[in-house]
Amino acid sequence: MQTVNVVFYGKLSDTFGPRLEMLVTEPCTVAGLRRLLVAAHPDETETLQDKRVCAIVGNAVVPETHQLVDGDEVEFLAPVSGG
Amino acid sequence: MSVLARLQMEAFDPARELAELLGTSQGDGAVVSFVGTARPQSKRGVAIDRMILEHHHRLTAQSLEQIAAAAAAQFEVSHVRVVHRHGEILPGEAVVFAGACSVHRRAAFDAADYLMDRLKTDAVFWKREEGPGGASWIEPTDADYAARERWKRT
Repeated sequence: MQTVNVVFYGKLSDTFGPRLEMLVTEPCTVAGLRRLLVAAHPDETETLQDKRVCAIVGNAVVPETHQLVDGDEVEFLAPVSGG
Repeated sequence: MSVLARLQMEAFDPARELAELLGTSQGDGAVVSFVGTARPQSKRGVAIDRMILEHHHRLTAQSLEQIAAAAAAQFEVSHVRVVHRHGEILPGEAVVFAGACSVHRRAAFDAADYLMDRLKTDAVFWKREEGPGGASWIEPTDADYAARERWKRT
């Protein structure tokens, strides 16, 4: 098992809260993490699986296949809008 | 060439931003600016008490810098200036200033237009309108995404 810290921004924080610590089985990808979150909040499937919701690890957007390691922080960004 | 992208919580004076841009333009010939202000009503006509622009502690400033730099690279402009607020914004207050200078007007118009299309869809903010009826998140519309896409064809 490994611990992953998950941070939510925008409307995602309404559902999931600003921050979660999750214990996940190895290996776990970003896509796998999304599936776990959706399983816990089935009503929010559409919100979290929205293609515009990107995952950030470190300082970069990572693909769905990105393999998470123990202690990683994953930030899920709801669709952004400035101006 | 100068590129400025500033993120701040405090209110700003758009007239002062324009004056500073004019000052840096050094007689370039064309100065174009856009000011976006907070509306007192939502698109559905519901009163808004305040708008909250949530931001990311590192990605938001970075996104403003990238957008401003991209405008500077894509158009024949001499100066680009972006000022964007975060936090609580009251109706009527300026949210964003986007301006550009160029030798001929078309590049400055295009750069300002481009800046706003990118800011609407790519700047890292989460926008929430709060009023007597509660709070709602505002996301880019299909028209906003289409406006951004048209720059990819040029």
